[in-house]
Amino acid sequence: MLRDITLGQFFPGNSPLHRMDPRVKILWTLFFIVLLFFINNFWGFLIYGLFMAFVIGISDIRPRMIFAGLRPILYLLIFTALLNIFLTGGENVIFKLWFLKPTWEGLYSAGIMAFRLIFLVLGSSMLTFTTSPIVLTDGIEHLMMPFSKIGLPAHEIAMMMSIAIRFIPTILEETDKIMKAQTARGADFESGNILRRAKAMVPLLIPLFISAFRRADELAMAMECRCYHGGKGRTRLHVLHLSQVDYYSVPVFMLLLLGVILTRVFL
Amino acid sequence: MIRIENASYIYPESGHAAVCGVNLTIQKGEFVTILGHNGSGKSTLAKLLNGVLLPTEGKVFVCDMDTALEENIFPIRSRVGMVFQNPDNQIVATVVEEDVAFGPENLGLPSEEIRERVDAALRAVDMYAYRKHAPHLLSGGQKQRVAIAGIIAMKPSCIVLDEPTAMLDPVGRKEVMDTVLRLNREEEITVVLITHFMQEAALSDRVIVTENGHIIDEGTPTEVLTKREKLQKARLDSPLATELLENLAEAGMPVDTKIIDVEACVNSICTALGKE
Ligand SMILES: Nc1ncnc2c1ncn2[C@@H]1O[C@H](COP(=O)(O)OP(=O)(O)OP(=O)(O)O)[C@@H](O)[C@H]1O
Ligand SMILES: [Mg+2]
Repeated sequence: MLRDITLGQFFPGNSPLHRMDPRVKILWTLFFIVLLFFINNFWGFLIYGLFMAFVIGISDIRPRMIFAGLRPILYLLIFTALLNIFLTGGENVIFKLWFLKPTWEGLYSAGIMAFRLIFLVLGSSMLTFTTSPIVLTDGIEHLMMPFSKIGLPAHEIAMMMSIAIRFIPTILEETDKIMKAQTARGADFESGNILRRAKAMVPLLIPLFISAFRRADELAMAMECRCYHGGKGRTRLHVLHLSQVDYYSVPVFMLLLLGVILTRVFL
Repeated sequence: MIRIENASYIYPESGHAAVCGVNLTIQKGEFVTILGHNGSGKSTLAKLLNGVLLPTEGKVFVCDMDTALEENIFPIRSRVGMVFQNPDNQIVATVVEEDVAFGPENLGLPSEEIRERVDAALRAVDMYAYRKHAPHLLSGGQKQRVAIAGIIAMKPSCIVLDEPTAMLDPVGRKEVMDTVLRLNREEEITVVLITHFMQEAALSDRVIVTENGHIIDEGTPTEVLTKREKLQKARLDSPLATELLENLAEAGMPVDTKIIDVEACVNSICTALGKE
Protein backbone atom coordinates (compact mmCIF):
# COMPACT_ATOMS: atom_id res chain seq x y z
CA MET A 1 0.00 0.00 0.00
CA LEU A 2 2.86 2.36 0.74
CA ARG A 3 4.47 1.48 -2.58
CA ASP A 4 1.81 3.39 -4.45
CA ILE A 5 3.07 6.77 -3.31
CA THR A 6 5.14 8.32 -6.03
CA LEU A 7 6.67 11.71 -6.10
CA GLY A 8 6.72 13.54 -9.39
CA GLN A 9 5.98 10.45 -11.45
CA PHE A 10 8.21 9.99 -14.45
CA PHE A 11 7.28 8.14 -17.65
CA PRO A 12 10.39 7.16 -19.63
CA GLY A 13 10.22 7.88 -23.32
CA ASN A 14 11.97 9.43 -26.28
CA SER A 15 9.68 12.26 -27.32
CA PRO A 16 11.00 15.76 -28.13
CA LEU A 17 9.85 16.74 -24.65
CA HIS A 18 11.93 13.96 -23.09
CA ARG A 19 14.96 14.98 -25.10
CA MET A 20 14.75 18.62 -24.11
CA ASP A 21 17.47 19.92 -21.84
CA PRO A 22 16.19 19.96 -18.23
CA ARG A 23 17.43 23.51 -17.69
CA VAL A 24 15.44 24.73 -20.67
CA LYS A 25 12.44 22.70 -19.63
CA ILE A 26 12.47 24.12 -16.09
CA LEU A 27 12.79 27.67 -17.38
CA TRP A 28 9.94 27.20 -19.86
CA THR A 29 7.77 25.72 -17.12
CA LEU A 30 8.37 28.79 -14.98
CA PHE A 31 7.64 30.98 -17.99
CA PHE A 32 4.43 29.06 -18.61
CA ILE A 33 3.31 29.50 -14.99
CA VAL A 34 4.13 33.19 -14.79
CA LEU A 35 2.41 33.91 -18.09
CA LEU A 36 -0.66 32.09 -16.76
CA PHE A 37 -1.23 34.92 -14.27
CA PHE A 38 -1.34 37.52 -17.00
CA ILE A 39 -4.35 35.91 -18.64
CA ASN A 40 -7.55 37.78 -17.86
CA ASN A 41 -10.12 36.26 -20.19
CA PHE A 42 -11.21 32.95 -21.58
CA TRP A 43 -9.69 33.50 -25.02
CA GLY A 44 -6.31 33.38 -23.31
CA PHE A 45 -7.19 30.04 -21.80
CA LEU A 46 -8.31 28.81 -25.18
CA ILE A 47 -4.82 29.56 -26.47
CA TYR A 48 -3.32 27.83 -23.43
CA GLY A 49 -5.61 24.88 -24.08
CA LEU A 50 -4.45 24.59 -27.68
CA PHE A 51 -0.84 24.89 -26.58
CA MET A 52 -1.32 22.22 -23.91
CA ALA A 53 -2.97 19.91 -26.44
CA PHE A 54 0.06 20.36 -28.70
CA VAL A 55 2.50 19.64 -25.88
CA ILE A 56 0.61 16.58 -24.72
CA GLY A 57 0.36 15.45 -28.33
CA ILE A 58 4.11 15.41 -28.85
CA SER A 59 4.90 14.04 -25.37
CA ASP A 60 4.07 10.34 -26.01
CA ILE A 61 2.22 10.30 -22.70
CA ARG A 62 -1.31 9.02 -22.63
CA PRO A 63 -3.74 11.92 -21.86
CA ARG A 64 -5.49 9.68 -19.34
CA MET A 65 -2.33 9.65 -17.22
CA ILE A 66 -2.08 13.40 -17.38
CA PHE A 67 -5.67 14.04 -16.35
CA ALA A 68 -5.34 11.51 -13.54
CA GLY A 69 -2.85 13.99 -12.11
CA LEU A 70 -5.68 16.48 -11.74
CA ARG A 71 -7.75 14.27 -9.49
CA PRO A 72 -5.95 15.19 -6.24
CA ILE A 73 -6.73 18.87 -6.76
CA LEU A 74 -10.41 18.26 -7.55
CA TYR A 75 -11.58 19.22 -4.04
CA LEU A 76 -9.34 22.25 -3.98
CA LEU A 77 -10.82 23.28 -7.32
CA ILE A 78 -14.40 22.91 -6.14
CA PHE A 79 -13.65 24.66 -2.85
CA THR A 80 -11.98 27.70 -4.42
CA ALA A 81 -14.66 27.89 -7.09
CA LEU A 82 -17.42 27.93 -4.46
CA LEU A 83 -15.61 30.59 -2.42
CA ASN A 84 -15.25 32.71 -5.53
CA ILE A 85 -18.84 32.33 -6.62
CA PHE A 86 -20.33 33.20 -3.26
CA LEU A 87 -17.88 35.69 -1.82
CA THR A 88 -17.00 37.85 -4.79
CA GLY A 89 -19.14 40.94 -4.49
CA GLY A 90 -20.92 42.27 -7.59
CA GLU A 91 -24.04 43.81 -9.04
CA ASN A 92 -25.41 40.94 -11.07
CA VAL A 93 -26.82 38.53 -8.55
CA ILE A 94 -27.87 35.24 -10.07
CA PHE A 95 -30.31 34.28 -7.31
CA LYS A 96 -30.82 34.92 -3.63
CA LEU A 97 -31.06 32.16 -1.09
CA TRP A 98 -31.10 33.22 2.57
CA PHE A 99 -27.78 35.11 2.87
CA LEU A 100 -26.10 33.50 -0.16
CA LYS A 101 -25.85 35.76 -3.15
CA PRO A 102 -23.89 34.14 -6.00
CA THR A 103 -22.97 36.73 -8.64
CA TRP A 104 -22.10 36.51 -12.31
CA GLU A 105 -18.82 38.30 -11.53
CA GLY A 106 -18.11 35.59 -8.97
CA LEU A 107 -18.82 32.88 -11.47
CA TYR A 108 -16.48 34.55 -13.92
CA SER A 109 -13.56 34.83 -11.50
CA ALA A 110 -14.24 31.28 -10.30
CA GLY A 111 -13.84 30.15 -13.88
CA ILE A 112 -10.59 32.08 -14.31
CA MET A 113 -9.24 30.68 -11.07
CA ALA A 114 -10.18 27.13 -11.94
CA PHE A 115 -8.50 27.33 -15.32
CA ARG A 116 -5.38 28.81 -13.77
CA LEU A 117 -5.16 25.98 -11.26
CA ILE A 118 -5.74 23.34 -13.90
CA PHE A 119 -3.08 24.71 -16.22
CA LEU A 120 -0.69 25.20 -13.33
CA VAL A 121 -0.94 21.51 -12.44
CA LEU A 122 -0.91 20.35 -16.06
CA GLY A 123 2.14 22.45 -16.92
CA SER A 124 4.21 21.40 -13.94
CA SER A 125 3.22 17.75 -14.24
CA MET A 126 4.36 17.77 -17.87
CA LEU A 127 7.78 18.69 -16.49
CA THR A 128 7.92 15.82 -13.98
CA PHE A 129 6.28 13.33 -16.37
CA THR A 130 8.97 13.81 -18.99
CA THR A 131 12.05 14.42 -16.83
CA SER A 132 13.60 11.77 -14.60
CA PRO A 133 14.19 12.98 -11.03
CA ILE A 134 17.94 12.69 -11.43
CA VAL A 135 17.98 14.80 -14.60
CA LEU A 136 15.64 17.26 -12.94
CA THR A 137 17.95 17.77 -9.97
CA ASP A 138 20.82 18.06 -12.39
CA GLY A 139 18.99 20.86 -14.18
CA ILE A 140 18.15 22.59 -10.91
CA GLU A 141 21.78 22.37 -9.84
CA HIS A 142 22.92 24.05 -13.05
CA LEU A 143 20.29 26.75 -12.84
CA MET A 144 21.26 27.51 -9.24
CA MET A 145 24.97 27.55 -10.06
CA PRO A 146 25.17 31.31 -10.71
CA PHE A 147 23.79 31.90 -7.20
CA SER A 148 26.51 29.81 -5.60
CA LYS A 149 28.74 32.87 -5.89
CA ILE A 150 26.54 34.63 -3.34
CA GLY A 151 26.70 31.63 -1.03
CA LEU A 152 23.84 29.41 -2.22
CA PRO A 153 25.02 25.80 -1.78
CA ALA A 154 23.75 24.74 -5.22
CA HIS A 155 25.63 21.44 -5.46
CA GLU A 156 24.77 20.41 -1.92
CA ILE A 157 21.07 21.15 -2.39
CA ALA A 158 20.98 19.10 -5.59
CA MET A 159 22.90 16.25 -3.94
CA MET A 160 20.51 16.22 -1.00
CA MET A 161 17.54 16.16 -3.34
CA SER A 162 18.87 13.29 -5.40
CA ILE A 163 19.78 11.26 -2.32
CA ALA A 164 16.32 11.91 -0.89
CA ILE A 165 14.80 10.66 -4.15
CA ARG A 166 17.11 7.65 -4.11
CA PHE A 167 16.09 6.67 -0.56
CA ILE A 168 12.33 7.17 -0.84
CA PRO A 169 11.67 3.59 -2.04
CA THR A 170 14.17 2.16 0.46
CA ILE A 171 12.60 3.95 3.42
CA LEU A 172 9.08 3.10 2.27
CA GLU A 173 10.04 -0.54 2.06
CA GLU A 174 11.45 -0.32 5.55
CA THR A 175 8.31 1.41 6.87
CA ASP A 176 6.26 -1.43 5.45
CA LYS A 177 8.54 -3.95 7.13
CA ILE A 178 8.45 -2.24 10.53
CA MET A 179 4.68 -1.84 10.29
CA LYS A 180 4.29 -5.55 9.66
CA ALA A 181 6.66 -6.37 12.48
CA GLN A 182 4.74 -4.15 14.90
CA THR A 183 1.41 -5.49 13.69
CA ALA A 184 2.68 -8.99 14.37
CA ARG A 185 3.37 -7.84 17.93
CA GLY A 186 -0.20 -6.61 18.27
CA ALA A 187 0.15 -2.98 17.23
CA ASP A 188 -2.95 -1.51 15.65
CA PHE A 189 -2.48 1.25 13.10
CA GLU A 190 -5.93 1.24 11.60
CA SER A 191 -8.59 1.70 14.26
CA GLY A 192 -9.45 4.42 16.73
CA ASN A 193 -9.69 8.17 16.34
CA ILE A 194 -7.00 10.41 14.94
CA LEU A 195 -5.30 10.87 18.30
CA ARG A 196 -5.08 7.14 18.91
CA ARG A 197 -3.78 6.50 15.44
CA ALA A 198 -1.18 9.22 15.80
CA LYS A 199 -0.09 7.62 19.04
CA ALA A 200 0.15 4.24 17.33
CA MET A 201 2.61 5.78 14.88
CA VAL A 202 5.22 6.39 17.59
CA PRO A 203 6.54 2.81 17.70
CA LEU A 204 6.73 3.02 13.92
CA LEU A 205 8.53 6.33 13.68
CA ILE A 206 11.18 5.76 16.32
CA PRO A 207 12.79 2.70 14.71
CA LEU A 208 12.39 4.37 11.34
CA PHE A 209 14.28 7.43 12.49
CA ILE A 210 17.02 5.43 14.17
CA SER A 211 17.54 3.35 11.08
CA ALA A 212 17.49 6.43 8.82
CA PHE A 213 20.27 7.98 10.88
CA ARG A 214 22.27 4.77 10.74
CA ARG A 215 21.81 4.65 7.00
CA ALA A 216 22.89 8.27 6.68
CA ASP A 217 26.05 7.48 8.64
CA GLU A 218 26.93 4.50 6.49
CA LEU A 219 26.11 6.30 3.27
CA ALA A 220 28.28 9.25 4.23
CA MET A 221 31.17 6.90 4.91
CA ALA A 222 30.65 5.02 1.63
CA MET A 223 30.59 8.33 -0.24
CA GLU A 224 33.80 9.46 1.42
CA CYS A 225 35.41 6.15 0.50
CA ARG A 226 34.53 6.97 -3.09
CA CYS A 227 36.46 10.23 -2.86
CA TYR A 228 33.41 12.48 -2.53
CA HIS A 229 34.49 15.94 -1.47
CA GLY A 230 31.66 18.25 -2.47
CA GLY A 231 31.00 19.79 -5.84
CA LYS A 232 34.46 21.21 -6.32
CA GLY A 233 36.42 19.59 -9.14
CA ARG A 234 33.60 17.13 -9.75
CA THR A 235 32.73 16.19 -13.33
CA ARG A 236 29.64 14.42 -14.61
CA LEU A 237 28.94 11.33 -16.67
CA HIS A 238 26.13 13.06 -18.52
CA VAL A 239 27.00 16.58 -19.53
CA LEU A 240 24.02 18.78 -20.27
CA HIS A 241 24.08 20.37 -23.68
CA LEU A 242 21.49 22.17 -25.76
CA SER A 243 20.15 20.35 -28.80
CA GLN A 244 17.82 21.12 -31.70
CA VAL A 245 14.66 20.60 -29.65
CA ASP A 246 15.75 23.33 -27.28
CA TYR A 247 16.20 25.81 -30.11
CA TYR A 248 12.89 24.83 -31.71
CA SER A 249 11.14 25.42 -28.40
CA VAL A 250 11.91 29.15 -28.50
CA PRO A 251 9.56 30.11 -31.36
CA VAL A 252 6.83 27.85 -29.95
CA PHE A 253 6.86 29.62 -26.61
CA MET A 254 7.15 33.01 -28.28
CA LEU A 255 4.01 32.17 -30.21
CA LEU A 256 2.30 31.39 -26.89
CA LEU A 257 3.45 34.72 -25.48
CA LEU A 258 2.22 36.56 -28.56
CA GLY A 259 -1.15 34.84 -28.35
CA VAL A 260 -1.63 35.78 -24.71
CA ILE A 261 -0.61 39.39 -25.35
CA LEU A 262 -3.05 39.62 -28.24
CA THR A 263 -5.92 38.30 -26.15
CA ARG A 264 -5.16 40.83 -23.45
CA VAL A 265 -5.00 43.76 -25.79
CA PHE A 266 -7.82 43.04 -28.20
CA LEU A 267 -10.35 40.81 -26.47
CA MET B 1 50.80 -2.59 -1.46
CA ILE B 2 49.53 -1.99 2.07
CA ARG B 3 51.77 -1.96 5.11
CA ILE B 4 50.46 -1.70 8.65
CA GLU B 5 53.13 -0.93 11.21
CA ASN B 6 52.27 -1.53 14.82
CA ALA B 7 48.91 0.18 14.42
CA SER B 8 46.36 0.57 17.19
CA TYR B 9 42.97 2.18 17.17
CA ILE B 10 41.05 3.31 20.22
CA TYR B 11 37.47 4.55 19.72
CA PRO B 12 37.34 7.96 21.39
CA GLU B 13 33.67 7.52 22.40
CA SER B 14 34.18 4.29 24.31
CA GLY B 15 37.93 4.25 24.95
CA HIS B 16 37.84 0.70 23.65
CA ALA B 17 40.97 -0.50 21.86
CA ALA B 18 39.45 -2.19 18.81
CA VAL B 19 42.83 -2.77 17.13
CA CYS B 20 46.00 -3.27 19.16
CA GLY B 21 49.51 -3.23 17.77
CA VAL B 22 48.80 -4.89 14.45
CA ASN B 23 51.62 -5.55 11.98
CA LEU B 24 50.55 -6.68 8.56
CA THR B 25 51.76 -6.44 4.99
CA ILE B 26 49.48 -7.10 2.05
CA GLN B 27 51.22 -7.86 -1.25
CA LYS B 28 50.06 -6.73 -4.64
CA GLY B 29 47.63 -9.15 -6.27
CA GLU B 30 47.09 -11.11 -3.09
CA PHE B 31 43.70 -12.37 -1.86
CA VAL B 32 43.62 -12.04 1.91
CA THR B 33 40.73 -13.05 4.15
CA ILE B 34 40.25 -11.67 7.63
CA LEU B 35 38.33 -13.92 10.02
CA GLY B 36 37.23 -13.20 13.55
CA HIS B 37 34.11 -13.29 15.70
CA ASN B 38 31.79 -10.31 16.20
CA GLY B 39 33.54 -7.34 17.75
CA SER B 40 37.04 -8.71 17.19
CA GLY B 41 38.02 -5.54 15.33
CA LYS B 42 37.82 -6.62 11.70
CA SER B 43 35.81 -3.66 10.47
CA THR B 44 37.99 -1.25 12.39
CA LEU B 45 41.08 -2.79 10.82
CA ALA B 46 39.48 -2.46 7.37
CA LYS B 47 38.71 1.20 7.95
CA LEU B 48 42.35 1.81 8.79
CA LEU B 49 43.32 0.57 5.33
CA ASN B 50 42.02 3.56 3.39
CA GLY B 51 42.19 6.30 5.96
CA VAL B 52 38.53 6.33 7.01
CA LEU B 53 40.00 5.91 10.48
CA LEU B 54 43.49 6.99 11.35
CA PRO B 55 45.50 4.80 13.72
CA THR B 56 45.79 6.34 17.19
CA GLU B 57 49.23 4.71 17.35
CA GLY B 58 51.47 3.32 14.63
CA LYS B 59 51.29 3.89 10.89
CA VAL B 60 49.46 2.62 7.85
CA PHE B 61 51.03 2.96 4.40
CA VAL B 62 49.29 2.45 1.06
CA CYS B 63 51.77 2.29 -1.83
CA ASP B 64 54.22 3.93 0.56
CA MET B 65 51.84 6.82 1.25
CA ASP B 66 51.04 7.53 4.87
CA THR B 67 47.26 7.54 5.49
CA ALA B 68 47.70 10.13 8.23
CA LEU B 69 48.76 12.84 5.78
CA GLU B 70 45.92 15.02 4.53
CA GLU B 71 47.25 15.32 0.96
CA ASN B 72 47.44 11.53 0.54
CA ILE B 73 43.82 10.88 1.37
CA PHE B 74 42.31 11.07 -2.15
CA PRO B 75 45.14 9.18 -3.89
CA ILE B 76 44.79 6.48 -1.23
CA ARG B 77 41.01 6.24 -1.48
CA SER B 78 41.15 5.94 -5.25
CA ARG B 79 43.63 3.07 -4.86
CA VAL B 80 41.93 1.24 -2.02
CA GLY B 81 38.20 0.88 -2.60
CA MET B 82 35.81 -0.23 0.11
CA VAL B 83 32.63 -2.28 -0.21
CA PHE B 84 30.35 -2.49 2.82
CA GLN B 85 27.88 -5.01 4.14
CA ASN B 86 24.60 -3.31 3.30
CA PRO B 87 24.33 -2.61 -0.44
CA ASP B 88 21.37 -0.27 0.12
CA ASN B 89 23.44 2.13 2.14
CA GLN B 90 26.24 2.58 -0.37
CA ILE B 91 24.30 3.16 -3.58
CA VAL B 92 23.97 6.88 -4.15
CA ALA B 93 22.10 7.32 -7.41
CA THR B 94 18.73 6.28 -8.81
CA VAL B 95 20.17 4.71 -11.96
CA VAL B 96 22.75 1.91 -11.93
CA GLU B 97 25.18 3.59 -14.35
CA GLU B 98 24.91 6.92 -12.55
CA ASP B 99 25.87 5.21 -9.34
CA VAL B 100 28.87 3.49 -10.88
CA ALA B 101 29.89 6.88 -12.28
CA PHE B 102 29.85 8.50 -8.84
CA GLY B 103 33.46 7.63 -7.95
CA PRO B 104 35.03 8.63 -11.30
CA GLU B 105 32.97 11.84 -11.21
CA ASN B 106 34.48 12.67 -7.85
CA LEU B 107 37.93 12.11 -9.34
CA GLY B 108 37.15 14.86 -11.85
CA LEU B 109 37.66 12.74 -14.97
CA PRO B 110 36.39 13.89 -18.39
CA SER B 111 32.97 12.46 -19.25
CA GLU B 112 34.19 10.24 -22.13
CA GLU B 113 36.58 8.51 -19.78
CA ILE B 114 33.87 8.16 -17.13
CA ARG B 115 31.67 6.54 -19.77
CA GLU B 116 34.39 4.04 -20.70
CA ARG B 117 35.15 3.19 -17.10
CA VAL B 118 31.49 2.78 -16.19
CA ASP B 119 30.89 0.41 -19.11
CA ALA B 120 34.04 -1.59 -18.37
CA ALA B 121 33.22 -1.83 -14.66
CA LEU B 122 29.65 -2.95 -15.32
CA ARG B 123 30.90 -5.59 -17.74
CA ALA B 124 33.47 -6.79 -15.22
CA VAL B 125 30.75 -7.52 -12.67
CA ASP B 126 28.38 -8.79 -15.37
CA MET B 127 25.78 -6.08 -14.77
CA TYR B 128 26.05 -4.22 -18.08
CA ALA B 129 22.55 -5.27 -19.14
CA TYR B 130 21.16 -3.55 -16.06
CA ARG B 131 22.89 -0.21 -16.55
CA LYS B 132 19.65 1.75 -16.94
CA HIS B 133 17.80 0.03 -14.11
CA ALA B 134 16.80 1.50 -10.78
CA PRO B 135 18.99 -0.01 -8.04
CA HIS B 136 16.16 -0.56 -5.58
CA LEU B 137 14.55 -3.03 -7.97
CA LEU B 138 17.63 -5.28 -8.13
CA SER B 139 18.29 -8.34 -5.99
CA GLY B 140 20.73 -8.15 -3.08
CA GLY B 141 23.51 -9.90 -5.01
CA GLN B 142 23.00 -7.61 -7.99
CA LYS B 143 23.05 -4.51 -5.79
CA GLN B 144 26.27 -5.65 -4.18
CA ARG B 145 27.79 -6.22 -7.64
CA VAL B 146 26.76 -2.69 -8.60
CA ALA B 147 28.50 -1.45 -5.47
CA ILE B 148 31.63 -3.38 -6.50
CA ALA B 149 31.38 -1.91 -10.02
CA GLY B 150 31.21 1.55 -8.43
CA ILE B 151 34.52 0.80 -6.75
CA ILE B 152 36.35 -0.75 -9.70
CA ALA B 153 35.30 2.15 -11.94
CA MET B 154 37.81 4.14 -9.90
CA LYS B 155 40.46 1.62 -11.03
CA PRO B 156 41.73 0.78 -7.56
CA SER B 157 44.61 -1.60 -7.11
CA CYS B 158 42.99 -3.01 -3.99
CA ILE B 159 39.40 -3.68 -2.88
CA VAL B 160 38.47 -4.14 0.76
CA LEU B 161 35.15 -5.93 1.23
CA ASP B 162 33.61 -5.83 4.70
CA GLU B 163 31.25 -8.81 4.93
CA PRO B 164 29.86 -8.17 1.44
CA THR B 165 27.81 -11.36 1.49
CA ALA B 166 26.42 -11.20 5.03
CA MET B 167 23.00 -9.94 3.92
CA LEU B 168 22.68 -12.13 0.84
CA ASP B 169 21.07 -15.47 0.09
CA PRO B 170 23.27 -18.36 -1.17
CA VAL B 171 22.72 -17.40 -4.83
CA GLY B 172 23.66 -13.77 -4.22
CA ARG B 173 26.65 -14.88 -2.15
CA LYS B 174 27.93 -17.04 -4.98
CA GLU B 175 27.46 -14.25 -7.53
CA VAL B 176 29.44 -11.84 -5.40
CA MET B 177 32.20 -14.33 -4.58
CA ASP B 178 32.58 -15.35 -8.24
CA THR B 179 32.91 -11.69 -9.16
CA VAL B 180 35.49 -11.04 -6.47
CA LEU B 181 37.50 -14.09 -7.47
CA ARG B 182 37.45 -13.12 -11.12
CA LEU B 183 38.61 -9.58 -10.33
CA ASN B 184 41.45 -11.01 -8.29
CA ARG B 185 42.52 -13.64 -10.85
CA GLU B 186 41.95 -11.78 -14.09
CA GLU B 187 42.31 -8.10 -13.30
CA GLU B 188 44.95 -8.75 -10.66
CA ILE B 189 43.23 -6.57 -8.11
CA THR B 190 44.36 -7.10 -4.54
CA VAL B 191 41.44 -8.29 -2.42
CA VAL B 192 40.99 -8.00 1.33
CA LEU B 193 37.85 -9.89 2.30
CA ILE B 194 36.25 -9.81 5.71
CA THR B 195 33.86 -12.68 6.21
CA HIS B 196 32.19 -15.10 8.55
CA PHE B 197 31.92 -17.85 5.97
CA MET B 198 34.64 -20.51 6.03
CA GLN B 199 33.93 -21.56 2.44
CA GLU B 200 34.79 -18.02 1.34
CA ALA B 201 37.97 -17.95 3.40
CA ALA B 202 39.01 -21.24 1.79
CA LEU B 203 39.20 -19.52 -1.61
CA SER B 204 41.85 -17.02 -0.57
CA ASP B 205 45.65 -17.03 -0.66
CA ARG B 206 46.11 -16.10 2.97
CA VAL B 207 43.88 -16.11 6.04
CA ILE B 208 44.29 -13.80 9.01
CA VAL B 209 42.48 -14.47 12.27
CA THR B 210 41.75 -11.59 14.61
CA GLU B 211 40.74 -11.78 18.24
CA ASN B 212 40.22 -8.83 20.51
CA GLY B 213 42.12 -6.44 18.24
CA HIS B 214 45.15 -8.73 17.81
CA ILE B 215 46.16 -10.93 14.91
CA ILE B 216 46.38 -14.37 16.47
CA ASP B 217 46.99 -16.51 13.43
CA GLU B 218 48.03 -16.17 9.83
CA GLY B 219 48.77 -18.55 6.95
CA THR B 220 47.30 -20.39 4.00
CA PRO B 221 43.64 -21.39 4.38
CA THR B 222 44.57 -25.05 4.86
CA GLU B 223 47.11 -24.21 7.57
CA VAL B 224 44.85 -21.88 9.50
CA LEU B 225 41.49 -23.53 9.11
CA THR B 226 42.62 -27.00 10.20
CA LYS B 227 43.94 -25.90 13.60
CA ARG B 228 40.91 -26.72 15.61
CA GLU B 229 42.09 -25.51 19.03
CA LYS B 230 43.25 -22.17 17.74
CA LEU B 231 40.00 -21.59 15.87
CA GLN B 232 38.05 -22.49 18.97
CA LYS B 233 40.04 -19.96 20.93
CA ALA B 234 39.09 -17.32 18.36
CA ARG B 235 35.48 -18.53 18.72
CA LEU B 236 35.26 -19.66 15.12
CA ASP B 237 33.99 -22.92 13.67
CA SER B 238 36.11 -25.24 11.57
CA PRO B 239 34.94 -25.71 7.99
CA LEU B 240 32.35 -28.49 7.79
CA ALA B 241 34.62 -30.76 5.73
CA THR B 242 37.46 -30.48 8.26
CA GLU B 243 35.12 -31.11 11.16
CA LEU B 244 33.75 -34.22 9.51
CA LEU B 245 37.24 -35.57 8.77
CA GLU B 246 38.41 -34.89 12.31
CA ASN B 247 35.43 -36.74 13.73
CA LEU B 248 36.07 -39.63 11.37
CA ALA B 249 39.75 -39.69 12.32
CA GLU B 250 38.82 -39.71 16.00
CA ALA B 251 36.55 -42.66 15.31
CA GLY B 252 39.55 -44.45 13.87
CA MET B 253 39.24 -43.94 10.14
CA PRO B 254 42.57 -43.29 8.39
CA VAL B 255 41.69 -39.95 6.77
CA ASP B 256 43.73 -36.82 6.20
CA THR B 257 42.40 -34.06 8.46
CA LYS B 258 44.36 -31.22 6.85
CA ILE B 259 41.66 -30.64 4.27
CA ILE B 260 39.20 -27.77 3.97
CA ASP B 261 37.28 -28.19 0.75
CA VAL B 262 34.45 -30.59 0.09
CA GLU B 263 35.87 -32.28 -2.99
CA ALA B 264 39.19 -33.16 -1.36
CA CYS B 265 37.23 -34.36 1.65
CA VAL B 266 35.18 -36.73 -0.52
CA ASN B 267 38.37 -38.06 -2.16
CA SER B 268 40.01 -38.57 1.19
CA ILE B 269 37.05 -40.53 2.53
CA CYS B 270 36.86 -42.60 -0.68
CA THR B 271 40.52 -43.59 -0.51
CA ALA B 272 40.13 -44.38 3.18
CA LEU B 273 37.14 -46.59 2.41
CA GLY B 274 38.99 -48.19 -0.49
CA LYS B 275 41.88 -49.06 1.82
CA GLU B 276 39.70 -50.71 4.40
N1 LIG C 1 31.86 3.70 16.39
C1 LIG C 1 32.29 3.01 17.45
N2 LIG C 1 32.43 3.60 18.64
C2 LIG C 1 32.87 2.93 19.72
N3 LIG C 1 33.21 1.64 19.71
C3 LIG C 1 33.10 0.96 18.56
C4 LIG C 1 32.63 1.62 17.37
N4 LIG C 1 32.63 0.72 16.37
C5 LIG C 1 33.06 -0.44 16.90
N5 LIG C 1 33.37 -0.30 18.21
C6 LIG C 1 33.89 -1.35 19.09
O1 LIG C 1 35.09 -1.81 18.56
C7 LIG C 1 35.18 -3.23 18.65
C8 LIG C 1 35.49 -3.81 17.30
O2 LIG C 1 34.44 -3.50 16.41
P1 LIG C 1 34.45 -3.91 14.89
O3 LIG C 1 33.24 -3.29 14.27
O4 LIG C 1 35.75 -3.60 14.30
O5 LIG C 1 34.25 -5.48 14.98
P2 LIG C 1 34.04 -6.54 13.84
O6 LIG C 1 35.07 -7.56 13.98
O7 LIG C 1 33.91 -5.87 12.53
O8 LIG C 1 32.65 -7.17 14.23
P3 LIG C 1 31.47 -7.70 13.30
O9 LIG C 1 31.80 -9.10 12.96
O10 LIG C 1 30.27 -7.63 14.20
O11 LIG C 1 31.35 -6.80 12.13
C9 LIG C 1 33.86 -3.70 19.22
O12 LIG C 1 34.07 -4.05 20.57
C10 LIG C 1 32.94 -2.51 19.13
O13 LIG C 1 32.12 -2.46 20.25
MG1 LIG D 1 32.30 -5.57 11.06
